[in-house]
Amino acid sequence: MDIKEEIKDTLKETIKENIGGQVKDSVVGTATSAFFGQLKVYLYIGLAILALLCVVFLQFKYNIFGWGESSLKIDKTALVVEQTKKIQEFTSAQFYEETAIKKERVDSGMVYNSNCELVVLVHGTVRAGFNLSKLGSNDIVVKGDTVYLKLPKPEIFDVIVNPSNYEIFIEDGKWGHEEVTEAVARAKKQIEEDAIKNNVLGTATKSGKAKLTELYKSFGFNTINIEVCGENK
Amino acid sequence: MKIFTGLLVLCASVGLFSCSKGNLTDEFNTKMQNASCAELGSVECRISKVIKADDNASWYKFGDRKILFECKGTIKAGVDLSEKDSYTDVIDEKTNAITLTLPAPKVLALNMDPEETKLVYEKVSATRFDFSSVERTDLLRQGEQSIKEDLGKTGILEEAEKNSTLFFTAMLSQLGFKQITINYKKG
Repeated sequence: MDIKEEIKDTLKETIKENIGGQVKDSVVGTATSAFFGQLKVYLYIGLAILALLCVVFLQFKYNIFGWGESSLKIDKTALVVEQTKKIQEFTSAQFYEETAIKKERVDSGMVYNSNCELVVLVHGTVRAGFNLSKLGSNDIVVKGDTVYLKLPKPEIFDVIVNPSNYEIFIEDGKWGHEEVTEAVARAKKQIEEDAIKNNVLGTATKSGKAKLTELYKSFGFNTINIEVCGENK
Repeated sequence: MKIFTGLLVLCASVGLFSCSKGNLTDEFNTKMQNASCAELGSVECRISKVIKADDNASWYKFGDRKILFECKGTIKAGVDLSEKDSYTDVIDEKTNAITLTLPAPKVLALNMDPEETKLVYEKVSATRFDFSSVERTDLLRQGEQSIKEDLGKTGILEEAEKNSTLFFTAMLSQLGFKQITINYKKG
């Protein structure tokens, strides 16, 4: 009987020790994994906050989402007339052109060089005709119902490229006001050259003669003889 | 590892997008057109205007942005005789008198030379984004629109009417008319 009880006690203690150790190990294991799990969560939260801060900074500094660009309004200021002068410009032809100007630049950075690109779409108007203030007293002669008119050479009066006539189509990288102005000025020069190549002065001569003939005929003259300075007869 | 891969993909996409380049062909420069017209410009005004904008701080914006341009340009005004029935005249041959009715004077051209549009001042706080070219162009467009709206106050149309009357009176006088009356249609 004693032996039986002794064996019983020994078995009880052995079982108690084994189970206790296992429970202890599992508790320690669970605590460790819970700690690392929590650390991971904190890490993710930290990274998310960091990313959010980065996005907020990029938005404020570089406006990556393009918010509020169209809401900017100018303040009311006065329009000042500096000078007024009398002119006598008879505009008889207009030339329109739409063109695009591209500028490229390479910005060297610490990590890599970035290609910057600017494309501006420009549509301009060239106005040409006769400066009638150059007409001398002998340049209009009336004989009966015939008018003899000698016009000066046709000339270009204006090449118009206003801010509403150009559009920034592509702006990669940072482009200053002067660089955009330089691109628009280049387009303006090109439009003027194209107008001359496309015979805007010839159109001005033809159209001007036709309109003045119509005008003088409405004043009761039958024959209108118009000669343009430097024009081949 | 996953985060590292994600970052790598992000960097690669940014690199790909920043490397993309477009080509502008010469064929673009084909939209040209000559047109005839008949406008008599009788007055030219030299104008200037300050264009300024304040993009001040608000509850969702930290720091200010300020920009100021100085613009110069010319305006030409006169009468547009392009339309066939834009002017009418009545002639009395017995008395050698003519009554010419012209269209109401109007602004024929506004020319804001880009090279005469100067950026005078620009201030951007460290926490705000810089003015882009698109924004600057938009502000200049608003300035141009403001000039057009204020043209009536400059008296340029009255001056154009006065000068056009002088021009046509001198011309008709040279053509032999003794009594000359110039009228304008109401605009």
